Amino acid sequence: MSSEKNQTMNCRMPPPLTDDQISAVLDGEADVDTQRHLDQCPYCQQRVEEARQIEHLLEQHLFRFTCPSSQVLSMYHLNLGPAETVDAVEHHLEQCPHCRTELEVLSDYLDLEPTPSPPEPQALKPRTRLGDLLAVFVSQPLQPALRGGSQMARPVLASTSGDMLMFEATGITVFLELQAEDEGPQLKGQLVAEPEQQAGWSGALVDVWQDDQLQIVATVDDMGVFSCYPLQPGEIDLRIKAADGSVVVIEDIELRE
Amino acid sequence: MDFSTTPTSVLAEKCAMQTQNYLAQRENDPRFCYELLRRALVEGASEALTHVYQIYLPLAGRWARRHPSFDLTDESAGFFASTALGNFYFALRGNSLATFETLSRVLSYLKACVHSAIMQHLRTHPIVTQPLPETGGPVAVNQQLDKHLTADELWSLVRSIVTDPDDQLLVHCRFVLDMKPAEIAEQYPSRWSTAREVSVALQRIRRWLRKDPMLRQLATGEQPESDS
Ligand SMILES: [Zn+2]
Ligand SMILES: [Zn+2]
Repeated sequence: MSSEKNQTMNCRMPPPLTDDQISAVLDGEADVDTQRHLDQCPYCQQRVEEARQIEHLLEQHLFRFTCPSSQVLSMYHLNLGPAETVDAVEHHLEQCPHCRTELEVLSDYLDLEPTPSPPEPQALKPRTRLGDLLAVFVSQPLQPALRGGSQMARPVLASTSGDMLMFEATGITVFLELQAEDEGPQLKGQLVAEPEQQAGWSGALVDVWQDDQLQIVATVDDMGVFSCYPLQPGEIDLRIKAADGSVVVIEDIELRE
Repeated sequence: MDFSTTPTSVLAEKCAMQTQNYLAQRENDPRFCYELLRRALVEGASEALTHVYQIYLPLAGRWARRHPSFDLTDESAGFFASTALGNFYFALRGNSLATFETLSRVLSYLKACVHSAIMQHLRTHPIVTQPLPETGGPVAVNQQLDKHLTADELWSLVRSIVTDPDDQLLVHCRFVLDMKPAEIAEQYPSRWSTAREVSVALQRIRRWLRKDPMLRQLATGEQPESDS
């Protein structure tokens, strides 16, 4: 076979390493001779590297891909999961040491004594993460001249002006307006996604943060509409989180009376 | 007790107090928390939901910090607290809470949500604690193909290369469950009597996988060699 001829031609210390020797290298079990061969033979080094890449691909993509989510395992542990998943989880646990360990850790963790809570020293606002959809201020829809302007204005919402602001992230538009109410401004919003994605945002949680403190939690309705009330004037950040874990973040909106 | 005229703010105040009682292992009355949670989870009332977050987010944050695996993550307690409360809400919204007989059980579930948030995060963001083996540097999987490949697709490809059911089980044990040959032999004694037998079979399977042109291309990004 031509490839075998190539190997002989290219290997500096023929015969080239066998497949079993390559596996031993990958497993960190190579003997002295194999290691010496590898140190001196770029060709066999490359073969080892390719084999390593293939196994790395398999490990990266396949590791625990059949495991139930941690949330499903927890529901199972507390007898809260739907009856139809119980058999599947139990069957999986018979063969999966990782999920068994997760449940052992959970069991010990739940057994830790409860303790009264002292004041929380650290801010609990989650930072914006890679993968969150950052919705950027586009314009006030009634003043399209702002769109694409070189100097993008800061988003300011005033309850007196009746302006509506528009923010965009990939495939998602969020409209916001502010209304004056008795106890403070009320932020009204609507999230509009691609038609096939819209249902996924129904029931999403909206949290409003001000000075790293949580102000309001609200929910998105079937039409994507939400309302946050009462708020205080000042700068706010808004996080909208869907049940599938998708998050839309809008930062630094200034609210004025 | 009829709560129909009780303002949410009053419920919240009493629920916060009863939660402190529970945490201090004193006697507690869960009814205020139940009603607050009912308004939040069943009615989706923003005021109740806000109070639920204000009472339980700090608690969830503290639980996150006490979790044995928290230090292995690269995230804040706030992130796990927020993920846990979100999952708590999404799992229970519209639910009657009838399955929770005591406040202790509701809070155990919230604590389990904190645990799940941390464990799930570690599954997808494992922290490398061991140095890479001496031979070869960091492994670069072909990123472009990598992005579009799902685990199911890759598993189908593997099963088309390795067709024998026992061999497939071995690949599953090795690459999906990351089991050592001795563990595999111990778990399936009727198929492989010794770790050595498992190792020999695995060597053969790894050889096949390595030779497959499609898998090579996916892993290295190189076009398969033509035989001409
Ligand atoms: Zn060589
Ligand atoms: Zn598992």
